[in-house]
Amino acid sequence: MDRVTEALLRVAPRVAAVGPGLLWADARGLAERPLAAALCACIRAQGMGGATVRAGIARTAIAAEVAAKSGPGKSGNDTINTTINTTINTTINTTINTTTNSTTNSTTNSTTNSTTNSTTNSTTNNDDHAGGDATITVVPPGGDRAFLAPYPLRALCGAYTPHPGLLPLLAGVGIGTCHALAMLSQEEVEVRFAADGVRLWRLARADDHRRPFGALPRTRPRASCAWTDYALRDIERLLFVIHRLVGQVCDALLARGEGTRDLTLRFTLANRSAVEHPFRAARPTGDPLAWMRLIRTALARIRLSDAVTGIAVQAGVIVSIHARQGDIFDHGFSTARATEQAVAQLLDTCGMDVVALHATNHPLLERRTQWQVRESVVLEGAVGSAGVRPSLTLQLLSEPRPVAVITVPRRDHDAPVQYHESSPHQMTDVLVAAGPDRVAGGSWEAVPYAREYFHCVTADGRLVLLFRAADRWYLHGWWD
Amino acid sequence: MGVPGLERAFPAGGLPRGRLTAWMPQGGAMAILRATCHALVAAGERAAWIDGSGTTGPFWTEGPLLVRPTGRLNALRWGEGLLRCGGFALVVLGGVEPQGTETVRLSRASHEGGGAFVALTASAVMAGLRVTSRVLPHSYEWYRGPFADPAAVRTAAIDVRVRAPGWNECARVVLPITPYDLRLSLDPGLVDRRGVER
Repeated sequence: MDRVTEALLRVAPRVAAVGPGLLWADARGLAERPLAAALCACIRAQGMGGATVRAGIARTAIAAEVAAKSGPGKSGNDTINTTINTTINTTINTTINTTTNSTTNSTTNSTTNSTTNSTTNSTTNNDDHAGGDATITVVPPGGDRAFLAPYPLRALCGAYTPHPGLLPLLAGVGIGTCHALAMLSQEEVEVRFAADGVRLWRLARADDHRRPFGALPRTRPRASCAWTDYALRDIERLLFVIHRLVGQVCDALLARGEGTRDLTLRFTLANRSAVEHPFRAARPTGDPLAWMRLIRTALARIRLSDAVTGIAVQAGVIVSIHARQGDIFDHGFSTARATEQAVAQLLDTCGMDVVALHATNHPLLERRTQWQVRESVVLEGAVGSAGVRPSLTLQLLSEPRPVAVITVPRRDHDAPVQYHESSPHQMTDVLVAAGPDRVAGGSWEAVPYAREYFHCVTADGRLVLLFRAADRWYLHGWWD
Repeated sequence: MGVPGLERAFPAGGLPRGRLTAWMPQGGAMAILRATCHALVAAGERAAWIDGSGTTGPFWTEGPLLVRPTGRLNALRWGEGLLRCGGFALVVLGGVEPQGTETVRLSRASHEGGGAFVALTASAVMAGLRVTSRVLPHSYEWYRGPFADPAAVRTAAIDVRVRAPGWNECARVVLPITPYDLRLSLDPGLVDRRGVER
């Protein structure tokens, strides 16, 4: 396989083997069909001569994969030896599929599947190279869904393996093809076939977010300086050199409107060894003063084993820094720069404490709230945006706090009438207990849950959220 | 203030800038201050919320700068830094009780920066304005269930008392209560379709 990959890399810039008989090749910016033909020729030239090589070109990964594995003109032998999928541009995929069946498939020039939708317009060509047989299926842009329509749902299982019972269940209600599944609405699929069904439904609609290849890595700004006739030990002299190098890196970044999240300082020592020290800023910046502040603080603690004969500075993760045009009606614009600097300094001093809420749909409240560190702190005021209507919202304890509760029976449950958190002498009376709201689930997780939630108004006017789980009571939060 | 009917209780109609306001939280304080922060952001100014106790729940609305510091000291540092920079019209510090010289430093930073500073604290030392708010226990309005029991809470009345030298005013506001959104769909990947019209 290494030999094949090496040969393929001479044709396509990036190649990836993702499974038995499946190769993806990146051909962004290249001509699709000649590239696919060249890749097929490569496969045969590497000791697979005589095999039927199949290629699929599409805008989505799933369409390309299906085009190669079971596209029009596929021979009767289903054994796949090698499949090469070439990603052209961001989402165009070319899949080349080699089977052991060496029989030349002369019927592949025509559309073999009679149920193919007329809007599919996929083209299938046979290209003979080096005595072999290559079938290239091209799915036109925008035609991925129509191309997939006539194929059985089984064809999608290469990309996603659903629960074993799902396909028979779908077949039982007469859904056997991608078209039949794709024409349903998400709600219809969701309520009958759950999350597995929705995932398969998305693939049937050629809604595939897989990217075989990410963006091409860019060259990161770098600056270095080396000297041989003397060695430096003095921190101040080192800082002088570092200051110049950091300035060069930051200039390169700022010229592109970018900043970096981390810088790496590499010291070449007189004993022919090298030491690397990474520096990380709390937020991406291209400001040399901010970096020098960090480096100066850290350099006082760094101990090097020998004198320094060279220094190199390289930027790490690079992100774009948005410049904002001034707005005379923005009250906060005049103080924007000072505020930015203050926040940046606080982030460096105190850590990444500025967060944004990412709420999920988990049934359990404590797992629904996820706080993510904000990559960029936007400090502009939102002029003209509507304010938020004031309301009491739930304040959630990070971990539910165990409480002792006195209950009274009420219909089919026990309702709380008093509770205390620490001392039994400080009981809190519950005036009203609304509930229970019952939540149970998680049988597929490590710890299943079953809770009864109560909204309780206490004698001091607080509205608290209590719940009972496995005969224990917990305080989960309060409204404020 | 962001809450209609509350302005008349405050001297000059709102929170004083460049001064420390001590707000004793007994219910409703966070709702009123959140609304104030959002009203400021909507007006083009900046507001920051320092959540020292880490209790901000899943119903936080983006707008003010939300800081969840890792410790008490960091919370105070954030408070001082944000106040001193002068870019924030309002900084709210919750879950942390500044004490002694800490209160002095924060108060001085507020004075230098010119922004309003509200500390959710029981201590009123150095405070130019003292505010107490509490939810009236018998003011809750409920949706009733099939057994005529309270099933879901709708609104609550909040008493706000504002004290300053030469000033003692009280106001009552009725605020809605955001339910905690009980989900019936147990798969986090699927939408909870309860109540969706078909």
